[in-house]
Amino acid sequence: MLSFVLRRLGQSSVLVLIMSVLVFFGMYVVSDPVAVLASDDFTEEDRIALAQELGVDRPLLVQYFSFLSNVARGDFGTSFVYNRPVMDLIIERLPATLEVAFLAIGLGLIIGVPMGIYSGLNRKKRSTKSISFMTTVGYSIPNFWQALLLILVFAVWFRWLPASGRGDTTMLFGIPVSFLNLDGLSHMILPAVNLAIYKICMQTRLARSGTQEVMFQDYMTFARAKGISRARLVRRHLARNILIPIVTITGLELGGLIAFSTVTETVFSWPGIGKLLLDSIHNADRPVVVAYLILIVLMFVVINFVVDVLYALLDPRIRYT
Amino acid sequence: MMEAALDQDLTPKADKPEPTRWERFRKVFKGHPMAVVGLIGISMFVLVAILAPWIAPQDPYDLAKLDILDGLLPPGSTLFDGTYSVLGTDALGRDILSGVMYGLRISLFVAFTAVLVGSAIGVLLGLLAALRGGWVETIIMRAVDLKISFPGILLALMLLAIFGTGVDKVIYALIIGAWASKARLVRAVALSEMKKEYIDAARLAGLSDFRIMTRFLLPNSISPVLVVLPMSISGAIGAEATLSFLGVGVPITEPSLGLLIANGNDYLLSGKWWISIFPGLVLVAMVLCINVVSDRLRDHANPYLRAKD
Amino acid sequence: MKRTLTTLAAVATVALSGAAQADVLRMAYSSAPRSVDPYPFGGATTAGYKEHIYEALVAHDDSPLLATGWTWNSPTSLTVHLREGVKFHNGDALTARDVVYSACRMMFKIDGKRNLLTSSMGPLTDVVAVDDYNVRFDMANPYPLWIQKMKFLSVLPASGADVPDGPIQYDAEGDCGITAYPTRDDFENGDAAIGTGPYKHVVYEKEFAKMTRNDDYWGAPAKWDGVEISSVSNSGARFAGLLAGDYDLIENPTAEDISALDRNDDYTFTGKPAWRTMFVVLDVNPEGANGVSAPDGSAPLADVRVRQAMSLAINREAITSRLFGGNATVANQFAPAYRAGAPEMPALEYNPEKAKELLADAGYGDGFTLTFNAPSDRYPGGTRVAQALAQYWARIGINVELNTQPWSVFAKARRAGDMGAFFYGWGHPQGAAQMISFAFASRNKDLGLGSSNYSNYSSAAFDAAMEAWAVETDEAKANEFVADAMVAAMADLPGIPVYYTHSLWAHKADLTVDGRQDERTSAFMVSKK
Repeated sequence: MLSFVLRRLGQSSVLVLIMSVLVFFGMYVVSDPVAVLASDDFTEEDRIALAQELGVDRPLLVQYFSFLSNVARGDFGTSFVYNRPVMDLIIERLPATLEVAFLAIGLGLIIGVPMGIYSGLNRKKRSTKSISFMTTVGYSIPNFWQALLLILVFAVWFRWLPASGRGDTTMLFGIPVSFLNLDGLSHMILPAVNLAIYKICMQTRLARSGTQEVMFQDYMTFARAKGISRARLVRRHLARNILIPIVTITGLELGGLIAFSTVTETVFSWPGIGKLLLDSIHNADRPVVVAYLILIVLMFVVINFVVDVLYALLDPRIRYT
Repeated sequence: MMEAALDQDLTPKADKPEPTRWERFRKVFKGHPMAVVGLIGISMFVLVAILAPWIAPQDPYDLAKLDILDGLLPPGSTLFDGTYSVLGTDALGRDILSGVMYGLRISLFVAFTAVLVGSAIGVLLGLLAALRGGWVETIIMRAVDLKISFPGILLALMLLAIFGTGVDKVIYALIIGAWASKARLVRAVALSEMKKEYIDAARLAGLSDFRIMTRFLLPNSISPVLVVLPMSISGAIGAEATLSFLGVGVPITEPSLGLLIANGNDYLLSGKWWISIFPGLVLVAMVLCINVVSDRLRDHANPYLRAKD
Repeated sequence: MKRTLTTLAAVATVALSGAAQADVLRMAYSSAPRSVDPYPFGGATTAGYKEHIYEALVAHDDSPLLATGWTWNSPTSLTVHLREGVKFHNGDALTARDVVYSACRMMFKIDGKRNLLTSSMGPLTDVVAVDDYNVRFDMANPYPLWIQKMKFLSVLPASGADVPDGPIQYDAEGDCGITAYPTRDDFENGDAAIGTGPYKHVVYEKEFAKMTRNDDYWGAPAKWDGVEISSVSNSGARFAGLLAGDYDLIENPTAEDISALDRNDDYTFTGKPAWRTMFVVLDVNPEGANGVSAPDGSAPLADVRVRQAMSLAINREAITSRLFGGNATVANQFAPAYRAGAPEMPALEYNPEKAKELLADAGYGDGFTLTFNAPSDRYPGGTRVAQALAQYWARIGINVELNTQPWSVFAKARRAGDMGAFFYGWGHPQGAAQMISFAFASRNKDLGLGSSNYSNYSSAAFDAAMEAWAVETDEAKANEFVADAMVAAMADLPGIPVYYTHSLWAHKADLTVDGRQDERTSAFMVSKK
């Protein structure tokens, strides 16, 4: 187990290093923070002074190594644009992204899994066919387009839900969250649903194919032959067995969800880290972009790790040696 | 391509004649009208994309042919040069129908090129890993792990933010997104294939690694890749659209479907629905067709389900 | 909270209107104000937000604000007379000492970082409190623009920092013998967010800020009990939020959003010609320009006939009417024609036939190749205009390739001089000469001229006029020099003016908006019908 964790960490640090080099050098070549930040009436001296203050007048390698040594000390630098520590910016926005992501996953599981089991058990029914077609449609609609339709219908036509922003927040253990008050919750619904539609389709399919596979297993045939009731069969044997791939993929997709939230957060103006990333790319705010990447990779490591452990708990056949 | 996908079982049965490719092809789609519709849809879209320069009413990429005075005309209008615009125009006087035809071309070209090249690289690396083992395998599979641990759309976004926008850059970004999963898949299949006796026999007969790879491993390991290929393509189409929507995709003078939608998004609330609705519908329809066919292929390849077919 | 209640009702699908308390104005900005601290950052939204709370000596329209007037002692020395009876939000009375303190705070480097507004201070050498209500500003060289620069000097109370008793000695480092300035956090948690403005700070959370009426305001009382500013950068989301009742007013709706309001009785929009000129920069260097090439190897853009042809090819009327629905003004010179101090100039002709003839005369009858660059995410409708320009030039036979890039990339390429032709916008907060003095003058460091001359334009007549303007404190004479320079530039066309932008606000139909030229959005301009 320990060696497994260590190997994971090793791989991830390689990834972090590669990405940081790419982004650091890439953004240096392409965009110039001084040109972005300087207003039109800046004089040459103003520009030089600004470059010195941002630290971008030094040779690139020097910049990179000072960045690395700062990161080693836990300092990810200061945003060029906001002039604040990058970590503060990200931590400030992380809760907004996470709560929408979790709500979306929750919706996906609550709606998708039962729908999938139902389809798996009733393969020939008409309702199953339509569920299956709907999941394919849900898969096929581009996320950004779907977001716009949601706004058009629920915010503009019916005026049931707010179209953008985060609304009121409530402090929970010192973290501002939206889901504990109605205004915040109403702001969360559309972004979460936009992310959840894809989740629901995915969970439905996973649960369906899982159900089908399990139902063909010998032990299920045997159990059926023994006359175990269908409800018990589903509860005791089926649910447990299809849970494994669902947990795995849901976990692995959490990272994808957070990554994909860039699109949703942009369309709904949700102040999470995805929007921060996109804004920072456009503003040539290199410290934010690099730090974001490193954090995302770390998050993936943790997620993958947790998934593996869960996997092992659910399926005793798997051992890490 | 589709036919080959069904070669799950290549050892011919002695007791009955081997079905022809066409027969096997038909068997997959028989009794599945949705999949057939999907297949027809795909063929139509591909045909339109190929023929666009000859059948489109307007060349939407020729700036001299566009006039902003023709901008935002509703479906059924006539442009300054006499062109009849069935689906209306966008803000710059671009005929939507022509834009969609050319956009389809770009979207399909980008997705096909990226996925085919990416998959080819993936298959090659997967086979290499399986065949060589040792440090070659370690390096390749670690690289795969690295890639897979990172969301593709984010990677593409980063790469495009760094290297700039453009059709070629989008393709590179999507290629980088496409290879890893194929490599992993192919390696797994090839490894199980290599345990079979005929490979040992081939080795004993003195066949080179290259021959073994091309003659035996490749044909036998490629089927699962072909099954997931349509899904990869529809995914790539969506990814390209998303990137273009975020402003880091194809150039604005040569819009893909995604960019056409993004352009029209601004107008959706103002009642000029045709600008983004038509490209959006075409995009959704195309992805849907591909996914329906892809589902069918996958279901068919799934032995649990095939038993009941 | 009212907003929560609204949501409750909304969720229950009761069509309760989104109107908040009768007199709280809810506005949506297009980007978040960077800070409550008035000094580190510029930008329209930050400036628009902070002017609710803080005031400067001079108002946005050049009229006196915290000053009542000023006197030039000499071309390098100016005495400003302060308004009496002004109180800060903490009850302190405004005196000259506060102005000196504010000048120090402005120059001070927070966390060792110079703030981005400091360059606004020009050749300022000293700020002296002559008595309680008179402040003297001394300059190193004649600097008539100082009147404009005083708009940046938001006045803070000296009691906000640890200031030793007695007069404050100004210095350019902002040291001034002051031991501790309030930090940025002090501003953002509200402790130091103290000004003299009509509204008082309540909450600042980047994308959301709240203010309340200052009942002790020295001037006309504020029209709203409270102001809430949300920031929604995505224009579609902003507009949808307006229609969904989240906001009473949004800034920068798109031309498309505006046309959507045609059939809507609940909402309307207000436009106001703004001080930004959108124009094309052409590199007139006779050695040739990047991305511009002719078959014979010559430099097409160096020929004034080619530049005239490119201007004649543009149907500006079509651009403003079609791409902006009339919410932009056709340009006839480099400063907005309606900006105070801009000269009278004739309209620019649209004549593609004449353009072709001029091209042929110049020897480019078969056209030439031009890469035209435009930022993809900077100007509203900007990429569409860039495409339209490319269309017009393509039609007179120029082989145009349009290259759009994100602002961060574009800005670097512009800075590096990598672009032979590009689309750009320039605001004129400091008067009609602002853009031409930077963009077309030969470089003159002492007078602050020509630092952005990417056209590589050099004209003796133009430079003479600009150099005379830069040191002229008499407004009428200064305007004459501007006119001379403008005439020279319009004859040579080192750039091609295309249109002047309008600031737009979409809002509830029961509001009246009295917009301003300066692209800012504030509660002052909004009142109930």
